[in-house]
Parts: sequence; structure tokens; C-alpha cells
Amino acid sequence: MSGKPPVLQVTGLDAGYGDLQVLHDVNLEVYPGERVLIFGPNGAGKSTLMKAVSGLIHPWEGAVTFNGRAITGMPPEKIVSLGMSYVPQLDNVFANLTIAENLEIGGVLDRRRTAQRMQEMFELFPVLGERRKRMAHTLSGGERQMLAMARALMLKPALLLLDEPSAGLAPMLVADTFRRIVAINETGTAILMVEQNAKQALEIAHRGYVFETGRNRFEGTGAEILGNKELGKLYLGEEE
Amino acid sequence: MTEFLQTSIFALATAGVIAVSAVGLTLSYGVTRFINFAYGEFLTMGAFFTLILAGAGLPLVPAAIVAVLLVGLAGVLIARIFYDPLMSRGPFPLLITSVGVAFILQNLLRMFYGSDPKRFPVPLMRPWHIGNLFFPKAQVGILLVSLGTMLAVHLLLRRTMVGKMMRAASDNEMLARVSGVDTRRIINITWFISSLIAGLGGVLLAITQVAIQPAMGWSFLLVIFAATLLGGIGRPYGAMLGAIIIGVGMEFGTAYIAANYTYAFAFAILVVVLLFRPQGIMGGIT
Ligand SMILES: Nc1ncnc2c1ncn2[C@@H]1O[C@H](COP(=O)(O)OP(=O)(O)O)[C@@H](O)[C@H]1O
Ligand SMILES: [Mg+2]
Repeated sequence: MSGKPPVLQVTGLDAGYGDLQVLHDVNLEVYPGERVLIFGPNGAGKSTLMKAVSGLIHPWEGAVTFNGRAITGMPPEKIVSLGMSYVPQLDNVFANLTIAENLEIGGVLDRRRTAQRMQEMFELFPVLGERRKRMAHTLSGGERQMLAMARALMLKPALLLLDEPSAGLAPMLVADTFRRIVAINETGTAILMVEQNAKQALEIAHRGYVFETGRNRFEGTGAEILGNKELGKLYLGEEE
Repeated sequence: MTEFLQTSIFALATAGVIAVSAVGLTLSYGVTRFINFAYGEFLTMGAFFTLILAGAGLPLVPAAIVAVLLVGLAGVLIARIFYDPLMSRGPFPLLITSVGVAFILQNLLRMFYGSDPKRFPVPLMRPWHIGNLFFPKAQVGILLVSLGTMLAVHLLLRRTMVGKMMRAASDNEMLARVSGVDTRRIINITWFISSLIAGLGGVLLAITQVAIQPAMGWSFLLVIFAATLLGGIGRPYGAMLGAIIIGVGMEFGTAYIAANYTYAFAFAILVVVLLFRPQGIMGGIT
């Protein structure tokens, strides 16, 4: 992409839990302003990759660079301060904090801008503004996903990691979520997201990676992946 | 009627002592997820440090303030030395270690201060009289300090960023970290506040007792646990409510049923409530 250096570069990454190796020599890049999709079967290691990139687990081998800076093995609170935010797949809001408090925590590293960013989040997600004083555990599934995203956007990250943002949402809300992701991306935040709704997600992704058993299986533009017969059969639910 | 009201005055003061102590315990549990069995000794330290400083010539209130701050620092130090290294090993090693710390502290206090009971230096004050009721100034003072502490904890948790970060870390530590919260710093602050509140609880407890002794906090731990569990452990507002129930139960049990079993009433109430609501009375609210 136009010769610019990548925001995120993952090279030769191995990672896992205890004795269990999940990721094997994983490589991946995200360029500034891109929307990149990761998909693949359950258990392929997609969430593990997100955790290794965001600092929640320590990679065994390989390197992660963010804006040219090595962040391999840095603690998550340091990584977020450099401009990468992460929305986990599960438990991605503070259930016993109010909506407003969730956002305050999201903005904790730049408190002078918190009030202004919170207003911007309420414009992007009006329903959150209406419920700002409510505890997050009272929100519906869709509203929770919005809050999770808003929390991660408080610091205006250069890169946003989203782990299955449309999981469990009604079909109408899925399209809505993808529209918002495009809108967020158009404000200058690069997106790396994991999705099971791969077909829909590919329509908005510039590029995609297919993972299988913790390994790179395929990569290409949205059109290339959608046009790949074998992948279509395996992961996109296409008939011959 | 008069006796009932009179008992209520004492019950509220007792509830205040318990509430302060229980809130401190529940805060540290909320953030660290482990029950610090040395917590009772933090109370004892509050009482003994006050006694030592008062013995050195400080008036009671300044002595208590300095003592309480010292207990806060001691708590951070103890946590860093004994608890932090074990945080990733699950609850059991921590629990055993904290019992060990309790005994070390208790024996240190005994060594330096002897095991015979000491009188706490509360000046004798004439109680206020309203009709047939009398309001001992010490009891009224305890009640006011407890209410002030509850208010301060409430404001800390709801209005300050440190308090919100404590709640966030308690709610979801991983998410707090990826949001940029330095959870190690928050844990240290939590230990400081929790131990400081324990020290204050110890001073209040000492005021209500005829004499103070090295095992006073350890024995009172049962009462604190009762209130904390009753309120749903890790829930400060629950602990406050639990404390009122236990305090009132203890004082009325002592006044109307049997005078020698004050602490046993705390335990009995706990057992009865938990039989009906295992999650505590505040289940579901944080
Ligand atoms: N915390 C964990 N401890 C141990 N194993 C885990 C943990 N999280 C995930 N795994 C294992 O790692 C593998 C990959 O999981 P994950 O990265 O969640 O896959 P995906 O997100 O692609 O569905 C699975 O076999 C899963 O059981
Ligand atoms: Mg996953």
C-alpha cells in the first residue's frame, strides 16, 4: 500500500498457553488507514493472536512492531498508551461501572480530552449517551458491543483491534456494526478485526487473512478471498 | 422502651466499628480477590500504634491519625513482601501466607508490648443526657467517625478516578489493563486504603473495649467476616449493610439474651442469613 510503513507488523510469531502452542510462525501487516479482516475456524488462534499483539499474553518467539517500534512482550497498559486499542471478544465492558465510567476508564491515559471524546462517542453511539448513568450490565448485547468499541476509541487510537464485534448480534445490527466500523476507520483509525460473519465483513475489508490451526493459510484482498473457490466452500458457506 | 433505645445507641456504635472494618476488608478483597487473614492484626496495630504514640505524649486524635497512616504504610509493605509474589499462584498459598502473617504480627505485638491488657487512653467524658437516655460521647464520636468513613469511601469509589480505577480493576482486571490502568499501582493504593481503614477500625474498636490486647483484632475478625460475607464479599455497600445487621444483632443479643456470647451472635446471624441467601444480602448489586 503506497509504500508507507505498516502500523502493525507481526513476524514469525509463536504463542500459546502453558505448554500448549497455539500460534505457529504467524505473519501479518496492517497499513495506515486499512481495514483488515482475520477469519478462520473456531480454535484457529485468532483471539490468541489479538491477545499476543495487545500484550495480554507474552509471545514465545517472533516480533510485533507498532509504528516501527518493537512492542513484543510489553505490558498492555504500555501498548495502549502508544496508540493501539483492543476490544476483546468476551467480557469487553466493565459490567459494574456506568456507561460514562466505562468511557472514563477508556480515556484514563488522556484525561484532559476525556469530556470531549465522550461527547464524540455519544454522537457516534447516541444510545450510549441516553444511558450514560446506567450500569453496563443493564445494556443489551448490541449496546454492549457499542460501549466496548466506544471505550476503546476514547484515546483516538491509530489502530483498533476488534475481536468478533458482530458476534451474537441480530442480522440487522450486524450491518449496522460494520457501517460504524467503516465510519470509525474513515476518521483515520486502522482496523484489524476478527469476524465469523466473514462474507459480510469481507465486503468492507480492504484485505483479509485466513488462519487455520494457528498458521497463515491464505491472504489477499477482499475480492481475491471472495473469489477463491476452495475458501468459499470451506468458510463462506458457498455451494459449488 | 428506654432500654430498647439505650441499647440502640450502643448497637449503632458497634455497627459503626464493624462497618468501618468490613469496608476496608471488602475493598482489598474486591481488587485482589483474596481474603487477607492478617486483616485483624491491622486493626490491632491501629490500636497499639495509637497507644504508643499517645504514650509518647501526643493527644489521642493526632496519635490516632498518625497511627492509622502508619498502618496504611505497613499494609502496603506487608502486601509487597508477602502477597504480591504469590498473586499468580491462586488463592490457597495466599490464604495460608496471610494466616502466617497474622501470627507473626500478633506475636511481634505481644513481644514488644507484653500480653497483659492495656487501657486505651480515652479521657473520661460526661455523657449527654436527653430525657431518660444517655449518649456517651465516645459512642457518639464512633458513630460520627464511621459515618464520615462510609461517606469518604463512597465518594472515593464514585467520584474519584482512583476509586473508579479500583472498581474497574475489581470488575475486570484484563480489560482495565488494556484500557491503560496500571493495575499494580491500583493494587498498592488499595492496600494502603484498606489497611488505613483497618487501622481506623482498630482505634474505634479499642475505644469500645475495656482493655486492648494483642489478639483483639484476630478475635474481631470473625465479626468482620460475618458482616463482609453477609453483604456479599467485595461489595462495599453490602458490607455497610451487613455491619448494621451484625452490630444490631450483637448488641441486642447481648442485652436481651446472653451477655457472654457477643461474638457468637454475629456468627449465628451469618449462618442463618447464608442458609437462606448464600450470595449474601446484597447479591447482584455492586
Ligand atoms: N486462556 C487459555 N488457556 C488455555 N488455552 C486456551 C486459552 N484460550 C484459548 N485457548 C486455546 O487456544 C486455542 C485457540 O483459541 P482462540 O485463540 O480463542 O481461537 P479462535 O479465537 O480462533 O476461536 C484453542 O484450542 C483454545 O482452546
Ligand atoms: Mg476467538
